[in-house]
Amino acid sequence: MSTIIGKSIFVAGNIEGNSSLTVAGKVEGTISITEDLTLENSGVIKGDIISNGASINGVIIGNIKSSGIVSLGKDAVVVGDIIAPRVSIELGAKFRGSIDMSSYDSLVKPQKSSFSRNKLSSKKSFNRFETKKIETKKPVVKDVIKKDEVKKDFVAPAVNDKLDKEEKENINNAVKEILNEKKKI
Amino acid sequence: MSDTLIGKSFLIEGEIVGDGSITILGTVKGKIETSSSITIEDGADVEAEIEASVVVVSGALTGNIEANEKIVIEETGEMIGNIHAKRVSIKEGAVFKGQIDMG
Repeated sequence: MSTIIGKSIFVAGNIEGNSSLTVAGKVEGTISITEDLTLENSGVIKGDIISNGASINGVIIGNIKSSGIVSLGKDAVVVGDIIAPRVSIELGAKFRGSIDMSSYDSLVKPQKSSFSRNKLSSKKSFNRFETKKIETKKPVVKDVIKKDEVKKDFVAPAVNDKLDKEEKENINNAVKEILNEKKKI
Repeated sequence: MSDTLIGKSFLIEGEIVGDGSITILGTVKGKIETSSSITIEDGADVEAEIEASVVVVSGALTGNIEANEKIVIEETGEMIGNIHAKRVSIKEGAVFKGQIDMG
């Protein structure tokens, strides 16, 4: 038995059902149905929608999650995100939001099959990662230590050289001064 | 032909307000207000405060009714709540618990 919300009717609250829903009036609240939603030209929905399919000719402010086709007619005005495997937008429709046609399958598909696949694939990948991590970690640590050691070795003589140069310059200057004084004398 | 139809498998929680007639076969919890008629069909389950011009109860209703014109509780109707209307009719077989005010 389908449900119709008439033109002059305003529903403030949530609607749940297992059959199709036609909205010609105004709904403020979430709609969750297992069959198709039809939104007439005069219809306005403010709230999130979950349905099998949705054919929209009115105004929706909210997100649409659908397992079938979401079609926006030429009079549709939609502000929100659409997640559905198939989406059609007729010329003239106004839409602002994102459309995702890829993620609904993974959300809706029975999880048993995907779980078994994930288990198999994850085991393999984990083993690979673990072995790789162990192999790569050790040399990386060693490299770091070596580099530090090398750096210290390199830094120290460089500083020594500089000090030596400064000392040499000081010594040279002192010698020059002494020589000058000797010349004066 | 009623303006608004709430199907058998449907649940509406909240307020329904408007001018057109409303027929309920499903479940409604909250408040229903219309200037036209409200029909609660056999099998429907309504827990709501109701305001309308004509109310016909054939299903189960828990809540008060305020009607401008008339209230009819049919044979299959089961109602708990108070009624306020100029004309009230309760058919044989109906179950009713509450106060009636025809003033």
